[in-house]
Amino acid sequence: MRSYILQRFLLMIPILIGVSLFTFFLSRMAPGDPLMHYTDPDFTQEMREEMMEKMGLNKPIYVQYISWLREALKGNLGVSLRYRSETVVHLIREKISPTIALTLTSLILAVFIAIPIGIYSAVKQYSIGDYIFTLGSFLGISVPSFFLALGLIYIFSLKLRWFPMAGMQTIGSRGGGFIDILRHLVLPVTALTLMRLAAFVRYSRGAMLEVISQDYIRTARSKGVTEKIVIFKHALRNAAIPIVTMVGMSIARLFSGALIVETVFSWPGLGKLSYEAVLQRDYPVLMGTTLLVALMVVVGNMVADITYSLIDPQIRYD
Amino acid sequence: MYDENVETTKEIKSSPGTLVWRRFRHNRMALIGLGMLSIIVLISILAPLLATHDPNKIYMDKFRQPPNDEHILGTDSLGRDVWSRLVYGSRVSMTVGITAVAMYLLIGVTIGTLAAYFGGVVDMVLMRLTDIVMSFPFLLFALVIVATLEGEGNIWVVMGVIGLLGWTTNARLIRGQILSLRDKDYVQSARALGASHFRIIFKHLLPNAMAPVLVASTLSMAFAIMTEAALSFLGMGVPPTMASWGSMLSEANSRLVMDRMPWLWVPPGIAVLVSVLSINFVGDGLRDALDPKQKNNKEV
Repeated sequence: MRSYILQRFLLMIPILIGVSLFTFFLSRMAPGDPLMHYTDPDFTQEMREEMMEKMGLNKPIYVQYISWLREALKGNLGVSLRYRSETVVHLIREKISPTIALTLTSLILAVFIAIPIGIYSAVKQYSIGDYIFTLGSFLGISVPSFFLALGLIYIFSLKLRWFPMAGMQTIGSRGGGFIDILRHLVLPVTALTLMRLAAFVRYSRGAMLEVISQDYIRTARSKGVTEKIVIFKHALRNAAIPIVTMVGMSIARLFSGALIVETVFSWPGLGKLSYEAVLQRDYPVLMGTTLLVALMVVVGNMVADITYSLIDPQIRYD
Repeated sequence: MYDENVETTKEIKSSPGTLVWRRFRHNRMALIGLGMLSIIVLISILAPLLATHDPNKIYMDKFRQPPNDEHILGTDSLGRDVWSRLVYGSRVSMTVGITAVAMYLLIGVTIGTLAAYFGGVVDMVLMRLTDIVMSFPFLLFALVIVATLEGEGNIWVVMGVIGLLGWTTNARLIRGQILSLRDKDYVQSARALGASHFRIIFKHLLPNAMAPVLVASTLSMAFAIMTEAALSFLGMGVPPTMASWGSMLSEANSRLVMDRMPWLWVPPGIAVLVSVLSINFVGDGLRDALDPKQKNNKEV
């Protein structure tokens, strides 16, 4: 077991190097030089070259990558091209809390709403309730995130005027504080939760159905265990394995969702930061956020795999 | 008695395809999905007949007109006919969906088969490659690639990106399937009879390994269509001149449009929703039809 965990840890290294290599070379392949967007048009050619020289941008690309990697290992991800004075680490640190607030809330809400619905749907398979939830979850996985976000803004912000349509704080309000942020959080969280919720309901329903048909459930029932204990003790414990995996594996999707939701709602988080970094060709920032997201995805997958093997001793790794 | 015998013989003789279709037919949602999907495909084929205007023609004097007799869904911010763009938009979505699935199948099946069949170092290298691609933050990467290769947007780049980043599920599925089939007796005997690798893979392994891959591919077509719409919505998809549902939706970036002109952004949103929904219905029906084991579960 310990060697398995160690092996998984070691595997993260080539994956992260692969991701960073790919992002680095790809972003440098773009036509035009990286400073194109960030220098005055009346800069002379010499001033430009001097700047490139100073930032090490005219060395061969692999040399640039190696020096980037060396600095990155020391925890220095460089300076943003767009916000000259800000380091990438500082920018990420500033934007990570809004993203965590958004994604973690949605993830927790989605899991805790989805599992009871999944259990209900599986236990009462083919009931009207099951049909409604199944249809609802189909709708949920099929609606494009940005359309859902726009719809929420249209109904709850523009028409009903219950919640603000964008941002994290009311502009000009002198720290309306926690309640103000909470009001801004409602719609983006709803959008992200609904998307995850739909996928989780389908998954937990499937997992429950799979377990309920097993022999040991029939045995438990036939020896007179009450239905409640059969479902919540025997069945749920076993269905928990695929559900845990599902949550761990969903981090990549969660971030893609956050990128769109943050952009539509102008939520000042990592998703919006990366989208803007793409648009503005702010390579150091882009490298930083991509690597961070890849790290979260890899850790999520690893935690899912390890939990999986802890819960189910039948799984052996060699 | 006699009749029953005839019936059983028929049952045995019917091809796997017929069996799958028979099971599929009994799934109401899957049939509805298939019906809706056929309509959308038909719309994209017949687009020139259904469109009332040239989707790219700009009517200078009438931009952002509400729906009227002349323009049944009104006109957009550049004065183009929304209904015609909506009809032509189905072509982009269907093309992207089909191409992406073809790429998922081609890349995923090749990599998964090679990894499982040859094992050892080949397996290690190919699966680590799959792990790396799986860890890419999909949408962010797609944005980076599109921004790098084609600032203005180009449908080939978009299709290529979606195809190149999404094959990992297929690779893993097919690898698992082939691993479980590789040492089956019938494969062993084929090998003993001197069948080539090529013949074993294409004749004995792949046909038996494809069922879950087909289901996953159908569902990933839905994902591809959604991704194209998202990229175009973010201004990094197909070129703005090409009518795509995603880029039509980006009209809603203007608060005025969102608030007062829902005809500009609600119809393309619903179009994406309906296509993706119908594909998901079909995929789910296929899963039930191809996997009799699950079908049994349902009867418990």
